Amino acid sequence: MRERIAASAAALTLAAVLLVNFRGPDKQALGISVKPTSTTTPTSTSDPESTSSSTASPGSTGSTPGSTGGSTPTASPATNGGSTSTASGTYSGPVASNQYGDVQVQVTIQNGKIIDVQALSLPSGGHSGRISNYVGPILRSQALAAQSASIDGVSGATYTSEGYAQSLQGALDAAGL
Amino acid sequence: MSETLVAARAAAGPGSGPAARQLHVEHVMGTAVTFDVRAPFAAAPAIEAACAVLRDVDGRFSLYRADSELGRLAAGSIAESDLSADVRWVLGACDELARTSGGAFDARRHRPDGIVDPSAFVKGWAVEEAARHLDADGVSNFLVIAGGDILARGEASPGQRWRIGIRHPELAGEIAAVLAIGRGAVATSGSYERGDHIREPRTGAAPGTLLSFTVVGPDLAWADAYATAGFVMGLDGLSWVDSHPGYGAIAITTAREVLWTPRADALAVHPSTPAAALSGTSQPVALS
Repeated sequence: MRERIAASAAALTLAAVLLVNFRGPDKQALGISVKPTSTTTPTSTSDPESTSSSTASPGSTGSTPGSTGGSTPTASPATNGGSTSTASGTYSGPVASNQYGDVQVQVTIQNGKIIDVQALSLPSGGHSGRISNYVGPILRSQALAAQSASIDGVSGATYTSEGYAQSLQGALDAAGL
Repeated sequence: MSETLVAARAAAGPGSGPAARQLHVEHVMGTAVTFDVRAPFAAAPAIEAACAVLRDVDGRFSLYRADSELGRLAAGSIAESDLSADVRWVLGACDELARTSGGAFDARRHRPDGIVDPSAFVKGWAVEEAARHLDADGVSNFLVIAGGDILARGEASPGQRWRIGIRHPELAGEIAAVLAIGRGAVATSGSYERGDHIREPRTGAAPGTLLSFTVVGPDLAWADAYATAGFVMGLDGLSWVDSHPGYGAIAITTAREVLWTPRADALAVHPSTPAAALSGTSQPVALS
């Protein structure tokens, strides 16, 4: 799972939004990735409002299709424009297999915002059709990975008084005491 | 249960080495609360006054104490209308949260036994109240870290924001993300520390979509509650939090992805991003 995440901004964003509301029979989120197909029609606009939330960030690196298999998010749909470039179009993802079965989705983007997500195929028991009414903020997505960084505090699920000594915050405090 | 009050460690030269810290760890509310003060340091009475607030809130709100107001409410030995003004205010705030979250946060319904439990709001609120004593004492640069929920004031050192790590949900000793913040709050909900204690109030089930849900914003009481609600909502929680001005969220999914709303992303220190640039274009993530 981790190895397949190495994609540009827009593709990561697509993968992020495609997770929204997408639940299998046991209500677990499905890990879905998507890459644009030939139906893609990237456009460039001069909408100044689009720059701050654009899915297609300037400098996105584009695709490496087919390099690591069909379930790899590999491409950004519209990255060749200038600083105000935004993506529009309909994108179909690859058939992605995960522990719940095969999934394929289609996402529609207009001026850099996801306006619709449809399921083209789902594991048995899933519901086909529209899977999200999500038209909210464009998200950044990245793979979960451990980081090393100098930090002042740790936010996490509440540890107990007893668990504190074994927590990262406890270790951080101990280093300063 | 006061553990330690430690004098400032000698600082290294200007601009090098860690800033001098005044650390105090207070065990209260079932967890450890760390006060990390940077110059100007706090007088001991100010720290003690802040801790007294936490102990007082614990004494009135703890469901582990039969004689607390909420303990008596749970036992049916006191009417809600006879509770103190603070407790009634907190319950009112929780009722508002139940409405705005569509029931994802519901202090009156999330426990199977029906006991009113606003603790997901109370801890953050208590820390905000405690911090007032440091504010009033002229302490301007500090963190209060209450069992993983963080209130921040000022800066870590001159010109440097506080760097807050978001705990990796699967690797206890690691962080999965870093936020650089000034005055504000960061709260995280997840099931990895104390098991599946967060229940979906509407179904009683443990949420299954996320490993953790973090909220960053101006006030810890609300950030704490939003984190609980967001964890219950799953990915829908991202847009829900985003609808609250000033608040952002970071969700870590069972698919091992980290999702950032724009406000959280604006505070993020991404691994491939220079620390000075606190926002910018997305970057591919280096994989371990």
